[in-house]
Amino acid sequence: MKTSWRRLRQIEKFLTGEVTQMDSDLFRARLDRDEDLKSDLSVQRQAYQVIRDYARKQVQQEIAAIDQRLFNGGQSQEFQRQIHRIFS
Amino acid sequence: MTDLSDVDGNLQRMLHFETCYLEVFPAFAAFVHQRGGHLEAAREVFQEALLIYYERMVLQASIEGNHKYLYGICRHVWRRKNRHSGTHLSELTSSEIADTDGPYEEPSSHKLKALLSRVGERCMELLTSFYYHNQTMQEIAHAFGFSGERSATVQKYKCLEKVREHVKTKKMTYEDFLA
Repeated sequence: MKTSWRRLRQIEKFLTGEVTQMDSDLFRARLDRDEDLKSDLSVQRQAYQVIRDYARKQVQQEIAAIDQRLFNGGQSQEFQRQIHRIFS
Repeated sequence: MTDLSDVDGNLQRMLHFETCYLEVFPAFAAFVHQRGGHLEAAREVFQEALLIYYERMVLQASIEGNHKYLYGICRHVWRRKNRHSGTHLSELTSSEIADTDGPYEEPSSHKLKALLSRVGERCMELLTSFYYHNQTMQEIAHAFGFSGERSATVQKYKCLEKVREHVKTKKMTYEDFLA
């Protein structure tokens, strides 16, 4: 069954601390007695991790592509000469 | 100052990374060379440092474009790797360097493929724009062609739900596998 957007938003706000102390305490109290909510929170935490890992992989690939272009590409010969002088 | 959370986030980011290479890498290369390191090792460390720098930069907009800070991270990563191995980095093979503790566990291409087929590339782009690159919903609405923040937010939660479903399915598969 799909989780409602309202519930997703509530969990997100709790996890990111965008709630008042009172709301946070109320949410914690609900967590203690609502196993479904506890499970939803755990899944949402994992979902954020999946998103971050995906994004990080994208950025790593972007950096690797720039590295390749600068060290192997024909348009950055001045940079390559500069670095070669350091290691020669 | 470069605004990395601009509409053309990817392009801005790539340009910023290139500037970092041109302005910081030569100094770091000299640092590595003075310590007996090789170019390959300097490139490996720089790539890792640039990722760390970007993530901290996104979290703290105040240090955007601070090349001294990037240079500091490079030196820190370099020292950490040397301390970790107890030997000069130049003596390590590139696969050994890659094996030292990185900032995270890299998802396999199989996992990424499964994720993309379930969630879709556009959804992942939207989610990463918000949860990783720290763009505002207003910027996202503009970049993705939504009529406003509200419809972008609705879409964000739809996409998040898809990732949640993916996570749950993965769990089920794993449990089934154990059974």
